[in-house]
Amino acid sequence: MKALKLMAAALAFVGATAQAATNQEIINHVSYNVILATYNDLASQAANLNAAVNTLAANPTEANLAKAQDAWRATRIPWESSEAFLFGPVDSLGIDPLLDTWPLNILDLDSVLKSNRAITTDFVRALGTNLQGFHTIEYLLFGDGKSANTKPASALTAKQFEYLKATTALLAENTAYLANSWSKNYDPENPSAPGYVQVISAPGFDNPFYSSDRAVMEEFVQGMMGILDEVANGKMSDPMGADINSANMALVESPFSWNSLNDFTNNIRSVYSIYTGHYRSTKGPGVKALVERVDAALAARVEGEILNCMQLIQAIRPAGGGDFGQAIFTHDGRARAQKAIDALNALHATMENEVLPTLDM
Amino acid sequence: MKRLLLAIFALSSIANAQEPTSSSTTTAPTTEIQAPVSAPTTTSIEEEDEDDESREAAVSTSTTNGNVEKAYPKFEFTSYGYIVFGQRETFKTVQNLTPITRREMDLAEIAFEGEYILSDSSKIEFEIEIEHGGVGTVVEFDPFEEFGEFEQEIEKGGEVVLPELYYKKTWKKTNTALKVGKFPLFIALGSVQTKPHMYASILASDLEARMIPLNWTETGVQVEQKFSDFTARLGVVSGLNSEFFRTYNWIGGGYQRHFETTNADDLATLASIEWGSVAKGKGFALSYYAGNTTGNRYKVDKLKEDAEVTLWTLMGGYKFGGFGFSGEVIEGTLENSNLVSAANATLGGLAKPKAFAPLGHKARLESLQIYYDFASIRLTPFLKWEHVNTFEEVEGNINKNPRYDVTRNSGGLMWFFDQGAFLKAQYATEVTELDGLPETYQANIAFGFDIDSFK
Repeated sequence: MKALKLMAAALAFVGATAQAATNQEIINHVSYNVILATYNDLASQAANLNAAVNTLAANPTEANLAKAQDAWRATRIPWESSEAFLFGPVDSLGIDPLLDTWPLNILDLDSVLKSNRAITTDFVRALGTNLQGFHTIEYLLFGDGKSANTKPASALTAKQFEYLKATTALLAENTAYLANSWSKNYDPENPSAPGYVQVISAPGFDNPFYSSDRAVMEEFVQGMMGILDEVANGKMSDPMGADINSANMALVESPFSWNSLNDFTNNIRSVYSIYTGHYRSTKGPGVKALVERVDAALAARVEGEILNCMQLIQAIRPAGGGDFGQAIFTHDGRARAQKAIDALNALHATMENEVLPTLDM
Repeated sequence: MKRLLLAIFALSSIANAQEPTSSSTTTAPTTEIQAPVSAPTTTSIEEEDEDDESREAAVSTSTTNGNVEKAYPKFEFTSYGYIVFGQRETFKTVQNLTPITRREMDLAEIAFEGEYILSDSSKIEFEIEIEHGGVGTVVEFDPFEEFGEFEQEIEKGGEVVLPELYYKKTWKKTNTALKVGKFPLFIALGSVQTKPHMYASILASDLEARMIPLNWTETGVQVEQKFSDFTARLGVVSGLNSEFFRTYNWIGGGYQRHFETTNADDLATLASIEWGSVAKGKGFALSYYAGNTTGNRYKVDKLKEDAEVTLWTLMGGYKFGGFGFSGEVIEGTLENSNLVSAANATLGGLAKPKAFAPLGHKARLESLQIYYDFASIRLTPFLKWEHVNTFEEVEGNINKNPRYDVTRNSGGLMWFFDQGAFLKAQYATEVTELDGLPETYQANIAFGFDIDSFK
């Protein structure tokens, strides 16, 4: 109880400091210091991952495998922390499926690895999106995910190294392309088109996508609602099935690395970033500042709900080891997961029924 | 292309000059269902379509007898439709190897074909199809994306569609005909054998839809010329849009029905020579289709290179007493398939191909159906073998995907238990060349009617 009181006090303080922000200040801050910053981090981490994989391929030691695995996890953080804003170039340029299609098509990947084709970046580019991106790299770098989330470096074949190098290079290329689309040019068919950050941060009659600051705010809120729904009713509910007997490991995201719960948490962290304007060491204002102008209590309650959801997701982790893919096969793990799902759906309802209407007040 | 169009019009003009202007009576138009027709008493042009032939015969009989003057314009229509009950095996996701069984019911199609007969040598023909109950928007479930996504699909043209609307002029002296409008392409059994009584299985071809547009019709102009038992066709029609070519149906998605209008920057040429009548199951045909598809893309700067589609088809069948067979071989080439794949891979929004951008350079389909017609009880059992591989050859960085090398074997029967009503049953097994993916089955029963079967 004491902790909750302290949290409420902290939230009230943060709210008070952000209260004075105008809509334009909120939009500017979120666009540049949250969204663009996230995509720049993503491109940077993906380049590190590519370098780590190249080092591993040149010198396949256990230490280098561990570094490559860590680099994969580090790259995963900004990507999953971007899922509350899957609008703009990540959608219009079709980049999302290039990075993060799942489940991985293991059958087809094995078929490709058996072929005699030389595996290059262009070759992987021409394959389906469920044969490239994060989960292909994850499948090759980690264990089977059922009993272990790692494997010995000696288990990697020459062909798998070829594939790893090609697909991580492609991931670095695609994330750089995404960062560039936000910072410099959102439409490759129109070289004079600015970065999308300039479009979204300058709503108005002459803006082709956002005619008012309300339109941008709605984009932000709808983005948060979209990922809340996906985490609760897709990423978590679908693998759980109707009961423990119908739980399906094949539907779990990031099952090989046991990174699912971190993925989900970072998904909700992206909601927190848009809502509060906090990203890494950068502070607000976010959508919360707008809500505060209408209902300060609601603004604080929503932030509390977001933090609570992140805690409930982390609490799903089995005490004896493993991740979401293991928890859904135990009764108590399922109960904890259901509690998180209920909280996420409640937060979604709050966003839809209480936060969204404040845009018109 | 312009020269070809000019040639077609010149040919039709020459034929037109030979034809005396026919007169018609002026009584009120009538609507009637085509009844069985006795043998014509006059010489009339042989039409490629079974229904066309009967109607032309009916018209020429009535006008030359002079006893019963038929009114022009006159309206006639026919119809067919069917419902399918099925059970099939499918997979939850791309990772699952254990099939699950799914049962389905589908009000698959009801079609109305109408003809405004303008004179004894000209008519306007149209067809309205209502598919799957006839709604414009559907929610589809895609098990192969993410965790299984529900997606809203706008099925404009696929749900309530006007697949045919054309003017047809015939010149009997020279056995020439001209079609202008939207008409079926004489390129595959699925587009030629258009009514359920023409084939024993539930669809004329089960695998055509994995390679080319199903029931393919396009807008254009076509000249048809008969020589004895042969019919030659030459046409220019609207082309495909390579933006919508996808792994799971090769060039099939390029059929421009997604938008209200059809981009016509690239047209296609269609040619064929037919002996007998493929539609009736007694004839053979060699067909050719060629057309560039790059100009019809909406995103004009994503692909600059040509992407011509070329198709060769040999199709037909014959009947010896009660025993008959039919089949087809379709060979297709997509120029610069690797470049098309790369350009499509980064489309956004509803055009996003997700995992389905890679395309084969050459594709091939073969099918053979054998059947025996117990005419006295109108029962036709059949066996059918079909194979399609849309990654027969690949270009550049595209990898052959054995998942799309499919063989399908089926057997079943068609029974016309009433004059115009039928029951079809079909059991099929399907296997791909992808290691580890087990064989699946599909069992369907179709119940429907076909007014054309009264002939």
